[in-house]
Amino acid sequence: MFILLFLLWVALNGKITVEIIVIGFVVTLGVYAFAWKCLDYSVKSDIHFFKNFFWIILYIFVLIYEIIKSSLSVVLIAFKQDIEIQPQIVFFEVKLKNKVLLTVLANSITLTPGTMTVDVEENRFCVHALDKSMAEGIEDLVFVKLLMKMEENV
Amino acid sequence: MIKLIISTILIVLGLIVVITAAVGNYRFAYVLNRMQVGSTADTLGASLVISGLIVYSGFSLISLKLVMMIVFLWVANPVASHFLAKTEIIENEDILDECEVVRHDSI
Repeated sequence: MFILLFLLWVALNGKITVEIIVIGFVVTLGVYAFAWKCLDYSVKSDIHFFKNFFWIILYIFVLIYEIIKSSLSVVLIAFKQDIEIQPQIVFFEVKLKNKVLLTVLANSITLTPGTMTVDVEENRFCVHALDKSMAEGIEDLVFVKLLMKMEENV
Repeated sequence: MIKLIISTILIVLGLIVVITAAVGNYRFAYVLNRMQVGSTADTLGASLVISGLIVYSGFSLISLKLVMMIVFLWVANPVASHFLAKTEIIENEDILDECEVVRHDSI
């Protein structure tokens, strides 16, 4: 993570000089110490990240695919002659335990148009869906399967 | 030349999505449904426009910064809409008129 932060600093500056490298080193050290102290960061989580690297890349592509798919259906609904929709609020449970992964799941549900996370308590989700068809397969989303595999690796 | 064509197509597609969101905002009646349509503009619309710009600027530092913009949009947007939705559901007492409640859990 230290190297990533340092590369980010250099990329934002756009050029490499001695001053930028020295100042960047100090600032990166400060941010690193903050993450260590206040954000529950440790080297362990870095190792977990690299173990799951393949799944994370796959997850991003699946997320983009799902967003495009559900956006198309929302666009089609918005341009219909007469709008007939049945909004639903669905409560369901997932088997995940890791808090970070639960947050990722909630964010991806909100990010796909048509469904929106209203509340999360432990592993119970409350999701608002624009139409019945969008709420149907919500219990066994693709996201949940991928995140389960990530949790096994940890 | 090909770069220009691809980026134009991406930007126009993104603008179509944003226009759809604007039209949808007028056509839907209830708050949460409106937010669903509005979030299309934030996720797909904005990221299509930005990816068009990425293709246009090619492989450079500018495109790296644009990728970071997409990442930030996608991280920050769900948090805001989640809180709006939560507030609406807590505040609205006639929520059952608008939506049907389905339970799949074992409570």
